[in-house]
Amino acid sequence: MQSVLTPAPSASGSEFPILDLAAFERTSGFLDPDAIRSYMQTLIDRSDLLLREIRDQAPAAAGTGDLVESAHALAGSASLLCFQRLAFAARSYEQAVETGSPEIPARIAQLVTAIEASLPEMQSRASR
Amino acid sequence: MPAHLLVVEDDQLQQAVLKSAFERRGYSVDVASDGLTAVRMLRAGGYDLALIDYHLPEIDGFASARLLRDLMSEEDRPRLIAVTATSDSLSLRDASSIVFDAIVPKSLELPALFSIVETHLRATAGGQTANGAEAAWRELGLAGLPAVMMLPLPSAAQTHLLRHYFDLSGCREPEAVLLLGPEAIRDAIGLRVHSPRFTLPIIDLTGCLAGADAVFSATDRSTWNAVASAIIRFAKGRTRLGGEASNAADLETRLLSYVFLSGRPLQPAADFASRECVRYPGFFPHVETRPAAERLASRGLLERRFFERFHVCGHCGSFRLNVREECLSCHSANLRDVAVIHHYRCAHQAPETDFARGIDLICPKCRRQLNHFGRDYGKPGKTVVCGDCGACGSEPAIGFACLDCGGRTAGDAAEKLDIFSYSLTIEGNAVLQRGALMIEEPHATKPGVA
Repeated sequence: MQSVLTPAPSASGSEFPILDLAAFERTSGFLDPDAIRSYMQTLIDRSDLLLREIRDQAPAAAGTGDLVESAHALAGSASLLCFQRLAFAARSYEQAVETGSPEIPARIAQLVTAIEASLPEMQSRASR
Repeated sequence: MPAHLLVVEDDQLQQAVLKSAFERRGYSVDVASDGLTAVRMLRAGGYDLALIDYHLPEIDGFASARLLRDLMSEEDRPRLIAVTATSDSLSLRDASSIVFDAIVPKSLELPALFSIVETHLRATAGGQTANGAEAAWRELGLAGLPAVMMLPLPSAAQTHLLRHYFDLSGCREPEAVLLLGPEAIRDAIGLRVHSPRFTLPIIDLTGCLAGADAVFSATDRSTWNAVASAIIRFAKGRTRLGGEASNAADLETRLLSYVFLSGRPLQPAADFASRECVRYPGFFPHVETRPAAERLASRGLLERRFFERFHVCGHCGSFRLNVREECLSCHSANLRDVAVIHHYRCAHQAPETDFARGIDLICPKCRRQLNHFGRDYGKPGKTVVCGDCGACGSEPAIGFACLDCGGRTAGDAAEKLDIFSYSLTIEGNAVLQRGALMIEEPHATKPGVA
């Protein structure tokens, strides 16, 4: 049995790079450049959608299923494409909802910040 | 036949990334978007391994894997690897260590994921070749499959084949560089000149790239030995290289380090594809290699040994010269040998062509016909006649016509250049190991010019 567990996340997330460039270069070496651009565009669309969903939600509905599903999907894809800060923020939010943490509003704010910080890099990668 | 994987993932983007990456690596990949579909597909057989997302619709990854454990025998069941964004929640489920062969986080980079998948595949029947290769490398003194980087990026088919013999995961620091085709020579030169990995041995997989540190052929065990020896020799050498040499940015230090690591002299080999007609081993830029080696030799760090003398085109510097006999007057190579006739009666001597009148020989001086060889005339020798200007002489001139620029260089005016092999001196060895290699300005003269 081999288990490789993720490190325990810290409270902030700003210690993670927006894009882990070295990891991204290692990963992108195994992918078609055209496909990478398409993945980036999907990641942008998902980020935009999640931002809209967050902004359209009433504060009381911050832990609803749709939002968590969107954040879960974004966490996985951002992680796979090495957008570490966004992956961490989305996962932190997801965990806060799962555990009923009172930090949900703070995690949402962190997620919004991470999305806004990551979008320019995604757009840059999508246009290469 | 490539290993057959099933990616079980409900997110289309992650599905696409994993499928594309594993297919480019040489695997055959199918996808399933939910747990029930995955169970149906895996039960139908034909899969070597499944990557199963924990968070799935219908039944989750854990339940899917447990179901497969119940429904399939150990022999028929493919390897099951959980891929999860929240591995903590999965690891909290007591039975997860029983239903999955491994649990990996989604934050894992693709090279690490490849490594884990390949480790598990080696444990299956499809991994027998890799196991055999691993054992073979161990017998030759390596720790297992050598970690390599490849130039250029391999095709899916190449990856599929090579992963049986080498560790392609990218998770370990490479021990060697594999050259997959002649198009990678430029990359190999770039590695020697610019990369911090210039101290790695370069292994030729084509069998036709001169200058590699070893050639590898899976079917020729002697080449395995050569590759293992090169990897071990370079690795040992790297531990003895001083820090300055290991991190050198200049060509001379890199070249000297390479001679040290390779354990062999820089021995030129004929290479008529290049203007210099010779190429030194190691994939250094061949135009710059000889001058750099000369500078090192002039400092006593390398020792010269004569290899060959070349003549150099006076116009473009190419060594590719056609040596030819030329007319002394017009330098044409359109020369022919013609017999000289000596007419005994009038003592006239001239080329045979001057006597020829149809099938007869008529002396151009006295107009008499020459009938009998030995009585009327003799042929005391030959002369060289130019087919262009008609000039004749007893000896032609020697000249060079450049095969690259077409320019002509007179034989006595052509510069001569001696080519040497270079081996490390005791001083060169010591300088490298104590890491005190200060590179001086290049010499203004042209060393090696005879």
